[in-house]
Amino acid sequence: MWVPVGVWVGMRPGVAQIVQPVAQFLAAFPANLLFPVAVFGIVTFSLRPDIWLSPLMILGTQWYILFNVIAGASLMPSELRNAAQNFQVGGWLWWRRVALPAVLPYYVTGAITASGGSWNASIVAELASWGDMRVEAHGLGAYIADATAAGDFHGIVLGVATMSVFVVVINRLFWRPLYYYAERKFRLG
Amino acid sequence: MPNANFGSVDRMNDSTLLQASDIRMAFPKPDGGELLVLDGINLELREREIVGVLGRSGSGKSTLLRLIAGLAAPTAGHVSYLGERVVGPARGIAMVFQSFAIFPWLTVFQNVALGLEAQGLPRPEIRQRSLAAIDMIGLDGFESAYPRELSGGMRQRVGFARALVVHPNIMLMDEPFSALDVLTAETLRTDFLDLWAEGRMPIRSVVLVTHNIEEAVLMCDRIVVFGSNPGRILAEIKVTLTQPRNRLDPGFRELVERIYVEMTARPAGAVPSRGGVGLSTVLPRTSSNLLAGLLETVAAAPFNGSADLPKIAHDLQMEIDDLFPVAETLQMMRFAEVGGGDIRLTEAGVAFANAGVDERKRIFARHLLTHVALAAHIRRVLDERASHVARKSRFVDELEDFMSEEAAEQTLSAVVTLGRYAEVFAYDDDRATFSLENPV
Repeated sequence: MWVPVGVWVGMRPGVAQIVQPVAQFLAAFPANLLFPVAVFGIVTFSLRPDIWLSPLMILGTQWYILFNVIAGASLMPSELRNAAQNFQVGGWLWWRRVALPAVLPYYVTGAITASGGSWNASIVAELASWGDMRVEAHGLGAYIADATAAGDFHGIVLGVATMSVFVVVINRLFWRPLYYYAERKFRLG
Repeated sequence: MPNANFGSVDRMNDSTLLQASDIRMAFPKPDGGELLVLDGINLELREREIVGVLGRSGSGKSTLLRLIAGLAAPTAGHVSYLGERVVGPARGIAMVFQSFAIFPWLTVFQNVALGLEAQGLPRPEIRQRSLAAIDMIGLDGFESAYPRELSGGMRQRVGFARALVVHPNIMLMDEPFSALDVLTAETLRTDFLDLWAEGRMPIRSVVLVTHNIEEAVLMCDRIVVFGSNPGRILAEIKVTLTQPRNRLDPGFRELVERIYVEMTARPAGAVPSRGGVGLSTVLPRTSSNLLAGLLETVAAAPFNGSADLPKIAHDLQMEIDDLFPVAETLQMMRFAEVGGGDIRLTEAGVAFANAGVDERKRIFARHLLTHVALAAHIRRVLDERASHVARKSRFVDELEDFMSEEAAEQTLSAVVTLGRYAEVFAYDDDRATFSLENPV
């Protein structure tokens, strides 16, 4: 969702100068600060935590992607942009052939950074509690939190080990190949 | 050149493809003033001709090309193509870029096909026309290759094929050979001229922007010589030599010589008549080695103090963008006179060439402080201060009253080079300060 916005901003140096620092600032903003608001919302409207805790995870990740895409779009050589203009490449063709490939390596970089943060956030987000309000989703994070609360040492080790294995496997099987592919095919020069 | 341009759109005759009328291009400066890049440009492009736009870097020739392509809009004046005003990228005007500007994530075929896809043609036609263009330009067999797998020459062939495939009326070429090595560039030029002569290319006219005088004479039917600051047309020269042209042909040499004369005429007339160079003058980027080298070369046999610029350029394998700044600096410091396509050493120039290292520095320092106002100014400021130290930014600010930020930076880096060589002041780049203490 942030890709078109990032490309639009990145292609306009004037706008990028203003938006980029804001995106960077928001990326550093911990999602935790919004937890109380979210928990309050979920409890008040009796929403399903499994679904409605997800926005919290996504929130922390979007900004990384946004500012990487902005950087990618603004680093695109002006002659390439001029070439696309000169041959009147527009609309969907422009996105497909010019803009998306140009920012893909940056998108992947952003997504990798974001997934790291999102993973952590997801662990926390599965069990969000604020005062005596408590919402819980089903999953590893909730399991670890419960084990910790119960002082179940074996449970903690099992939970953390599983989490680490997940991270490694996902990195190896998904992000690495994607990054390598994007790097090889789409980097300039 | 047509001077009266009112109603030019209606007055264009049948064979006129494109007309640029009274073009003026200025960019706003941070201080509120404006930087004039092009002024009073009138250019007409007719059927079946290759027009060269020849000038040094910074003469605004590439800007003119962007205006013609509709990639930018002029501050005043207008460009009309087939009788209609150009307001944006127009179908029928295709560009070949200096840096090739082909998309690294697309194959050769996809790059070439892009312009046709943009026109929404049916797949079979796109395929057939793309393959034909690839074939014509000599890229057969490389259809599925990615740009990173190709040499510079082959990449630029993709640039040509991509432009040709859309069957443009006008092909704009922005220094298309200048990023290539000498041999590759020559092969590409010859191939292009062969295709042009055979009439096999689906194009009607070409505008070639270049800073290479010989390239212009080799390829063009008409050469428009540009002067700098602001970019303006100095002369328009018809080339009637028959193709294929030979660089060694006397007629060819004569024309090259004539263009050198045109290009050296104005700055030479302007500078010596004034006393030295004021603070408002933009100093060209150069090196002390080149200055000394050129003085020595001209002083020695066979030139003996006076040389033909084209001959020197040829002997030293220098293009005008390399040679002219050196010649201008020598002229500014009164070591040489430049004009009529020649460079002649002054007495001081000869003395410098014949002197030893220490004597050279003395002569150089004297001329620098006498004839280059900025150097004298910096020295005076340093002398007046007890600390003998001054920040660079203060001089940049002073220069920016007269020139753009970029030009001010360039001028200061040029004066640093000259001042260091002459040992009249020192400069610390880390701290961006001038001082009098000479580092040991």
